[in-house]
Amino acid sequence: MIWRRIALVAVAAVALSLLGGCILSPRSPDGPPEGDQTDWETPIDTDTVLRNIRTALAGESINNYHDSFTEDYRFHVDPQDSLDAGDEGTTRYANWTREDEVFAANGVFNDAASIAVSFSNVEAPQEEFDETFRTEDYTLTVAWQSGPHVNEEIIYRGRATLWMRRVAGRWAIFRWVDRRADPPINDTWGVLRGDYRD
Amino acid sequence: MGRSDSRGRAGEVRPWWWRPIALALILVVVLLAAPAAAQDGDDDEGEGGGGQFGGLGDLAQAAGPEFHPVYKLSHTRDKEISGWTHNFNLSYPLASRVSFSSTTNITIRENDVLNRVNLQENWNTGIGVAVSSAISTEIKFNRIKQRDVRNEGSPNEVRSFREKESVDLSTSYKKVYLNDIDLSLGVTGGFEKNRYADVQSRGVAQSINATLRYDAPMGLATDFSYSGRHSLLDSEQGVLASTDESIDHNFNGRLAYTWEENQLTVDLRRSTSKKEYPKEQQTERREQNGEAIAVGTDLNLLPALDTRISLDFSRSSSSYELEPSRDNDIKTYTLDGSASYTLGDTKFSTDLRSEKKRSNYFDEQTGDSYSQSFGTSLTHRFNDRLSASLRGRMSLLSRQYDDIEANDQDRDLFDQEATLNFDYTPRSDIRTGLTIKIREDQLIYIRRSRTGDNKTTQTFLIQPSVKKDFGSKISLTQRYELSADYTLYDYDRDSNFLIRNFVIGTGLDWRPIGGLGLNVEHKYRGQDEGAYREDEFGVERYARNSERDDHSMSISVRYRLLELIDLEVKQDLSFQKKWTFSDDEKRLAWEKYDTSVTGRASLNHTLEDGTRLSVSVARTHRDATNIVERQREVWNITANIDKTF
Repeated sequence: MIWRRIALVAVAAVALSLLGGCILSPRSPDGPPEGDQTDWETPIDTDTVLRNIRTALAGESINNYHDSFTEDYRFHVDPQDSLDAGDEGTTRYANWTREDEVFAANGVFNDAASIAVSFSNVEAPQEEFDETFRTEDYTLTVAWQSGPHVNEEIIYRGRATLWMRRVAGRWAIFRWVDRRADPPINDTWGVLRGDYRD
Repeated sequence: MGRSDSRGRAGEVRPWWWRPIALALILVVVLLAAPAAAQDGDDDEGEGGGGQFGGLGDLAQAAGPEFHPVYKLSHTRDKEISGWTHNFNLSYPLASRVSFSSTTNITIRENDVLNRVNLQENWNTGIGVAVSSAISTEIKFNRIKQRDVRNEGSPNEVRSFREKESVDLSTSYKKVYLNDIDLSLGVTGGFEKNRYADVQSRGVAQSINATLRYDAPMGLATDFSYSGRHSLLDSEQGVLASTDESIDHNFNGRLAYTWEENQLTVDLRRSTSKKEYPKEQQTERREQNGEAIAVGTDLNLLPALDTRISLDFSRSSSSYELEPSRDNDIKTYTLDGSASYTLGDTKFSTDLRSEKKRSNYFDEQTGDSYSQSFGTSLTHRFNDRLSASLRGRMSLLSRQYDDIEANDQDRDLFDQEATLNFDYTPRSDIRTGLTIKIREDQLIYIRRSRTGDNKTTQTFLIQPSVKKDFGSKISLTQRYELSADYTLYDYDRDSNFLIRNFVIGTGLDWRPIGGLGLNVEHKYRGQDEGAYREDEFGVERYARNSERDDHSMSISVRYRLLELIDLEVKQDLSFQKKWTFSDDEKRLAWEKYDTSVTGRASLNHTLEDGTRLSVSVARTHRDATNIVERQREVWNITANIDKTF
């Protein structure tokens, strides 16, 4: 009797699973692209993560940018950038998640004509562990086609400590600690992010 | 957008460290004075007490013996970064209906290499008077100060700061009528002063709040609350001198009806706010509105069957006068349902969630997102030794933008996952486990300009484990993991990729005598990765690009000395090799090592007078292939004093 009931429950589970398969069906794409090259490289080391960010920004590929960060990603702005934002600074940078990162990047993609970023390594990672960090001096150059800096090319500079984690052989950033360059001539990437937060 | 250099505007003439020193001096005075005051109180009591109140101790004695100043001090130092935290709390009954409270928190972080100091202070002081059992009034002072200084004293010094001071006088009324009606009302008025970057503002603020809670017969409960705030601040920023007005209204309501083991709830929320503030020497006016309603049921209509269903709607909008590009209006509709059924040793549960979100950003990001997920799980306990569970989950996230010409990021993310888990205990000293997992993620860009990135990621994983106890003092654990991770592109198959992992982890835990523990762990990971693509015959083939071996081992010895001090010595060693393949030849690409020895002593002790001491000192010596880690010394010191009397 008990096995019969269990069998009924199992059948119900399978039926529900099939029902779920019917409810959730993704859309079909328009078709193959004109070129067939993807910019994404499987991030088997931390260098590749930076390369993917660079190509995702240049190609304005939001999902490849999204995939360079883990689900529990947090961004930490330079304290002086937060203080200089005054009252708004208390909320503008607080609890910055991957969703905020992608939203801000999307906003920049909308207003930018071109985006280029370069990284210069300051402290190398230890990739034998599943978690590591690397420190990079970055230069982000954005040519604006709309928004508050229309027709300007602005350079953002700073130093980022990028904490990365390896899951299933793939690396992604789970913490970005942003600091102003020394001397702080340019705004940081953190200031740019804050300007495009929801 | 631009940076405001606040150098020299903070008006600091005293060095940053005067406050902690002043606080420490206050602490010393309090520590010395309090026992004496308590002693005085005892003497007074012996003589009849009451009489003339000569000091805080006397007042405390008259009002009651509780006197609880608490001081916490902690210090950490990790490489070039050190931090100090001072926390002081004082709650003191000045008379039977008058109480004094004070809280101070100061945090200082220093970076010696970057020559940087970050200081955060929070001061709160208040005197409260209980006018009657229902009415109380309180005056409070609050000061928040944050400062960050780089290269102090040098020509390239940079300072940033934010300060806020406020004084509030509040009166509140709270009463319970007929045991079923709670009513509370509050009114607050005060002054506020703000300084940050090149902005200064000062003015007045008022707020009111009211709560009405009613538990009616027949299982009906209601709870309504309202809060409102108004402020008028005179602000200055450069050439701008303005009077900024801000208003907030918040309303919350809840209705709950309970019958037998079932419940129906309705939650309502409505909020509006208007805020004016200086921005780049102009007055920014921000308006925000929000509303939400949620209806939920928790039903237990049949024995062993539990169902929950909820329907939510929320809407929020913001508008800015100076930055209209930040305007937004977002609506979200959510349906959430779950059910679980328990039959003897079998439990079945399922859940379904569907959400539609409409986001108006008034630009190319405007669009809809649909999120749906569905999950089921079946768990069965066969007997005392064997249990198993089967879980399945799928979700679909769909982003659809209105302007497909300007925004080609339309995409679907479709995830499916199934996990089978066994837990088997053949003998009381042996426990085994097995996990098998299959996962598939699909990324589908819809617009042709993006479909080059369309891909499917498949993960296959098997993870057995075993734990064996040898008596009560030794246990041995071993875990294995075998996984393959495929990335398959829809239109760019030359980029297909495969990663394979093999992991063995072994751990030994030995506690030979009380207070002494030994732990040894070793982990081996073998990984190879490379292209996975079709050959000229249409057969999928794997071409290995590289291979790597990671070994890591750690040995730690722990001992509790004199039942007081925890000692630990730990040594870690890891080395890694990577080979690349070219022309079928395996070549060593690089090898690395990393080793560290850490000694740690920690103490947690409570003195007879209740003072709690916590001290931890750790020193690490590290050596590695990486030049930064080579011959590196790290100190990590934490001290915490918690004094209550």
